[in-house]
Amino acid sequence: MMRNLYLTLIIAFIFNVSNAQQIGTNADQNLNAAQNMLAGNFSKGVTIGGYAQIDYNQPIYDGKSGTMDVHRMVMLFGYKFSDDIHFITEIEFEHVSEVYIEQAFLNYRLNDYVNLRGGLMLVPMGFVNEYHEPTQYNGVERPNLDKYIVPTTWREIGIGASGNIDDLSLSYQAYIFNGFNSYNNDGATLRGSDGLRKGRQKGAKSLFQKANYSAKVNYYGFQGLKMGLSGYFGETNSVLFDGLDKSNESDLAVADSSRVGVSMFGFDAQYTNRAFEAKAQVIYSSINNTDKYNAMTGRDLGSSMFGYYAEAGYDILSIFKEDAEQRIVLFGRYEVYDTHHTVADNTTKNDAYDRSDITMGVSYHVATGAVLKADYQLRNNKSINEYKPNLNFGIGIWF
Amino acid sequence: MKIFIQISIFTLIIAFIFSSFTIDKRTEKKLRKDVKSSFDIENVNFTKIDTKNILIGDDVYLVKSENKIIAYAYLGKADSRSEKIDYSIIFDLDGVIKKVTIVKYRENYGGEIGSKRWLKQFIGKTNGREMKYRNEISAISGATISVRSMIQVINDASIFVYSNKENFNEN
Repeated sequence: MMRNLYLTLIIAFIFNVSNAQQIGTNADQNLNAAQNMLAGNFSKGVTIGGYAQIDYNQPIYDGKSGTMDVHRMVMLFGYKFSDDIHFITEIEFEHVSEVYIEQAFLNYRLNDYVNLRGGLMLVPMGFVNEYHEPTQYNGVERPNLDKYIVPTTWREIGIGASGNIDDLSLSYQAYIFNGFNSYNNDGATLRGSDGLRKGRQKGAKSLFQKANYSAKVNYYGFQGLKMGLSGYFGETNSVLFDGLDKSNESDLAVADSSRVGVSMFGFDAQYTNRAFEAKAQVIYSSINNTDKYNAMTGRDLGSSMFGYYAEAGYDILSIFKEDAEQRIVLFGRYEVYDTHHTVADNTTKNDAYDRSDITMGVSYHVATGAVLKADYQLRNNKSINEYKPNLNFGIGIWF
Repeated sequence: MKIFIQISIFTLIIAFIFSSFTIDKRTEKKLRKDVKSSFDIENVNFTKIDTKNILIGDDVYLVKSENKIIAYAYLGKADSRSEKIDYSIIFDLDGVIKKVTIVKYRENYGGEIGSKRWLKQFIGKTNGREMKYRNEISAISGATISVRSMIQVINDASIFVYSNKENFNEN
């Protein structure tokens, strides 16, 4: 009897003390992760989330076969060390078997206006690179502009600041990132068909020689409208500079030819008004030194890339049911993306890289965070000049 | 063993006192600013109402100027994707929303809900009426979760204040 009473009191005491603790004090107590979890402190600071995209793509020309794919399955884990210091990471499984880290950064909320952060972060360029969860865009696949010109999901290791200025309806981000790798141990990485895409280092043993600068400003002062301006500037890294003897002129010339300069500008706008929604995005990217790069490597990298899209959608469910939690959005998108917008004199312009897509379809949001998608996509390029039809079906989730 | 009990009780009391009667300085400053912008009155003090008997998890304060109640201040927490949003609402004595402010936003994305322009949409609303997502209150691209969550909590808070304002007494 007495023992039971003591036991109860001890439990009550422990409970009381642990309740009075701040989440942030865990680290001071030399508890390992498992002890933390057992002590019940762990779950208070932990966030778990994720998103996934399961696709069925069916070309309907030339007797082509369809493909089914767990395109992405991404797990998000976050931990709050204190109210203002958070760690966030996303672990991605792409096509089931490829594993990546999509984000891994520490965020320190300095005050209402400034967050400082460092680690593996998303480059703010256009809309989809940052907002890439399947419930955030229409169409089974991400817009191709956000694949071939903006190399979504584009992330590198860096440091920077971000914040909102409510009085001005403005948000900003400014980062210093590691740049692309244009020449690794296997040779050149960049090419005409998808520009910078193969040069992403994704934070994996990435070569660092050149700091690149990235910034984005969003303005949301008009009701229902959000507009963003993005910029990215820098030079690529090349393994040929690693341990280079700069007095050796021929080696230096070869190394110089393996590096290019990148400037990218983006404008994006999104508008929603009741059941209506519209999006537009323009991206221009200029790449210099491509004449030397292509001559040395035999590649066909373009000197500039240009693309845009415009999309409109309407939630037809709202016509029948005003308060519906679900949404059935019919949409259409016209998209142009040309990775050979201009080429150096020694490079032949390839019209097959001047592409356009027309996508029409439906996004059925069965719940906030769960979407069923179907679309009919016509894909064309200037060299064939014939729209080839594809059917896409997908399931997207985000929680 | 006695000492344990004493410590426990003492800690509880201290924790209770601190959580009950203080608004942190930063929040209070924001509340004063909101009261001034809504009523053009500067010297006010805030007294917490005991809402336990009328059931609500958030805090409601009487806003008093020269010992006269001029408004109600509501301090609450809403969910964003993985964090809490601290927000405040100033109600007039009829339970009509005069001002909504985001006191602290912690999530990496969705901070657009702090926009003065967006929050203005709630001014004049009362008793949870006319606050439908996408109809009376506009959506924000990339901030869907925070937007829906804010609409929900403001809706609940305005119904609570409207229905219970007669019972708002000092305790």
